[in-house]
Amino acid sequence: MIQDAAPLQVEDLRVAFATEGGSLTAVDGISFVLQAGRTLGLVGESGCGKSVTALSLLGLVPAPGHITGGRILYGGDDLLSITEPQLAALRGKRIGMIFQEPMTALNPVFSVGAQVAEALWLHEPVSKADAHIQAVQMLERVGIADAAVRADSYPHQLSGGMRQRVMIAMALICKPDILIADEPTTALDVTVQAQILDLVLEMQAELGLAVLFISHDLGVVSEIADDVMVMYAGRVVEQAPATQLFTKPNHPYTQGLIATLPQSYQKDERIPAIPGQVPDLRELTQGCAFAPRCPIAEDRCRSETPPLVGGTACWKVGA
Amino acid sequence: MSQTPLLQARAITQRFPISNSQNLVAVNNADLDLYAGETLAIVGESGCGKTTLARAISWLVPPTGGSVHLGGMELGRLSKNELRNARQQIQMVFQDPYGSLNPRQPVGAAIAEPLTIHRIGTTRERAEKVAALMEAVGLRPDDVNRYPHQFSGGQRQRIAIARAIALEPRILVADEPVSALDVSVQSQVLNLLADLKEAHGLTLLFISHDLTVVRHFADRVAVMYLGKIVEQGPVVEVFEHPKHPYTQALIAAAPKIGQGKRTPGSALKGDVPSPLNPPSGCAFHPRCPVAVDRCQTEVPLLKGDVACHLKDEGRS
Repeated sequence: MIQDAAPLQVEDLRVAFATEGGSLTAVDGISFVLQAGRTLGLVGESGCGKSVTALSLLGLVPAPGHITGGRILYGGDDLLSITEPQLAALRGKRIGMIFQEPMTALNPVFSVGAQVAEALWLHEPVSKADAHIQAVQMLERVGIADAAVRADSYPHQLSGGMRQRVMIAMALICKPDILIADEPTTALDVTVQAQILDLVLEMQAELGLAVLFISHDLGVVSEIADDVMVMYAGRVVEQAPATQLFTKPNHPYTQGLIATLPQSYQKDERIPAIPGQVPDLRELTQGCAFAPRCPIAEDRCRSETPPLVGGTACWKVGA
Repeated sequence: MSQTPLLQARAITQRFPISNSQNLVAVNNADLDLYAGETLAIVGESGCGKTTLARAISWLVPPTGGSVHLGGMELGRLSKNELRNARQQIQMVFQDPYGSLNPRQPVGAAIAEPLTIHRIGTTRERAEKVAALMEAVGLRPDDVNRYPHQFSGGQRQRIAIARAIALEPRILVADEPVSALDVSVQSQVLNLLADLKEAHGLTLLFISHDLTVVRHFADRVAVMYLGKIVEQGPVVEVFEHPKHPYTQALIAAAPKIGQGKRTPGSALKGDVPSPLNPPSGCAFHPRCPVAVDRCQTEVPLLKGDVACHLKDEGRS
């Protein structure tokens, strides 16, 4: 059923959270495709729905959240309509995931070698002894020196960078088609971040991975992504090839984000700030969610939600 | 800069006892001068000692070795009362404004607290001062009775800044003041700090791991690695012509937009070593791409602006 390097296609995905104050829409109809050998960067600020999007792909949206609509097509199946055991068989085998904080994602009472091996024998018909041998090879492959010895270490005995390498080994040992990386370098120092970005690029080249790379850091996304999707308050506001998005952003929010990066300014020059703050999903009103902070918003923006047309969701672009 | 520094820290060392036999040397023999009106940034990765150094020189956690002169006073020789007065001149803003504000204290009371502690003004004068401070940092004085959780992250950092400048300090120590904020809010807070610096003639000690922010914001920069200052100098000089191999690597590793995808292979190897067991010689030598034998045995001293044996020999 699963074709080689099958792309993953998300159509009109919607996720809501049931709260005391009513239902909150965390992801409001987003669509994208993950393709073999390419990286889609997903950028946005806290609460924009980027992590919830990632978790939806694996059927891991935490309660009280639930998927309310859309399709996630992969290898001829809609992941939203298959059974939990079927989904569990894909998770970790065809779709790997790494998170921001490897310390909380790793089990503190098992050695890292055992955890990498488990990821393999859960999905593949291998003996535990073989799984361990392959786990050591995988740890070596992700740049852990002295892997045979290190395999017996526990997570707390490793540095943050090493722990993230272990996570990558776990995510990739079954040679998945897809890697979902949710802020994988945010907790790391810049020199270690550079190492992990290099590792993701190398593993992608080796395995032909389709990568969804989620980050709040535009610089990181610029260095790793082929295509970029910008989210704001649960919706995609702009989607474009990376080079185009960073050099000619169309949406006022993307423009504002790029303009607030200090790298573009001379010393003591004032950085143009986006006024206001990231909206609370409970306080969203009609129209474009960015309108209250937008320098060029007009009446229509405050009453009608702009659709994503030609890569930009803005009434003022191309108008 | 030939004038006398406003604050002069010499040979600052901070040891934390781990056990009877072992100390962790978080800061090792660091010298730092802070000149009136400037912004000095301390940069480095986690565990390099930048926060510990800032807390030591502001005497929040007095160092186990070294001296700090502020104006004509040596902080280590002051009586309790004198130190309390001297402290008015150095105030701090921390990374996490939610952690540094009492959740059960209305923000007006939080901002007034330094005034109360130092017994400045009458109740009424303090209330007026709080309103003026809130306005100065871009908050509505009407919100004086609200609680920290009712504000966004950026607003909470404004509250922390208002409290820090309530005593009209000469020096503001800002420890990663924008790291916990959303990207679109970071520049608002940076602009606020720049405005306040201008309006109050503040001197800023700015601690950050974010080189693009430092480059934009600071006049001078000190780069730390494993408890030591390895390079310092004017921001333009250090960023355009970094001398220490670590500074070079740090600048190269900072992600930038608009330069296309990275080419794997340029990243610095290895991890920051544990300060409990620092490498011999130059602490950076196990990761240094250009280290020579001497680097493994001899600790390089900070000569001029850089602590690197290779620079002593006139190589680059």
